Amino acid sequence: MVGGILITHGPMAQALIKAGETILGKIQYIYGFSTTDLSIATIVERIDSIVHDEEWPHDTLILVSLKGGSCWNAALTAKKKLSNIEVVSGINLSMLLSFVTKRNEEPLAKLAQTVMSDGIRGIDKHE
Amino acid sequence: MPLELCRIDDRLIHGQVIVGWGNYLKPDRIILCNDAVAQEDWQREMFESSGDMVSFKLDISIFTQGETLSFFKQDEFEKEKIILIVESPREICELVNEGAPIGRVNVGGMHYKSGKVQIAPYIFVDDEDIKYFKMIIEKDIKLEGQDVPTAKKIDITELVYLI
Repeated sequence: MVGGILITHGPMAQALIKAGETILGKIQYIYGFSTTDLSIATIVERIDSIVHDEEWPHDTLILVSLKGGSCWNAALTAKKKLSNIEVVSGINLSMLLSFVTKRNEEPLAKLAQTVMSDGIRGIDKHE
Repeated sequence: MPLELCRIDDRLIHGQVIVGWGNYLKPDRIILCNDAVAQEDWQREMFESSGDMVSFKLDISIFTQGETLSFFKQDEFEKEKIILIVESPREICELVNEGAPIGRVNVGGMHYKSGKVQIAPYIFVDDEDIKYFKMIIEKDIKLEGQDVPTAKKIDITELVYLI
C-alpha cells in the first residue's frame, strides 16, 4: 500500500478526490492540499506530519497539478526533506484512478511510472 | 534593453511566473536572484526544471545578488528580454543601491506569515517590508501589485502610506 498526497492549484485536489470516490468509493490514505489556501512551508510541514503518522503507509506518492508550479516546488521540497517519496506531475482523473487501483500491487518507484503512463494513455484525440 | 518585468514573489518561480508571465512576455531569460537558492543544487535544479513548461526557448538563470549585478553589465543584458524575480522588497533596494537598472517593480505575491498584515489579496507585509517599500518609492520607482498579466494593477504606493 502506498499513501497518496495531491497538491494542486485552487480546489482541484479535493475535487479530484471527490470525483475519484464517485467511481471507486471511499479512498483511504489520501490527502489533498491547495497551494491557493496554504503556504509552501505549511504544506511541507503537513506532509511531514502525515508521513510520520504510524497509521500511514511506508511509501508515499505525491501527485501535483503543474510541473514548475508551487505545487511542484512544495512536493520536491518534501521529497528532499523526507524519505520514501516519489513525485509525479500533471495529475488527472485517469492518474488518480490508476494510483488507487494499483497502489496495493506495485512498489513505489514502479507505481510512479505506471501512474504516469496510465495518465498519458488516458489522453487521446478522438478520430 | 530595460528589464521586461522585475517582480517580487516569495514563491519565486512558480505557475504564475512561468506559465502566466512567461507565455505573455515570451522572455529570453528568467533570472531568479536569490542567494540561498543559488547555493543549493537541488533547489537550482527544481527551479530550472520549470523551463520545461514553455514551448519557446527560455534560459533560467539562478544567480546570487553579486552574479545578478555582474550580469546587468554584460552584453547579453542589453540584447535580451528579461524577467527578474526576487523574494522581497529588501532585495530590490539592495540591487538598486548597487546600480541595478530597475524603474518599475511588480509585486506579484507576498504571502501570509505570522505578524504580517494584508494590504491586497496577495500582498501581506510587516514593518520591514513597509520600510523597504517606502525606500523603493523614494527612489522614484513605480510599485504595482499584479499577480497575473490579465489582472488589474494595484497602486501599492497609496496603500503603503495608508498603513
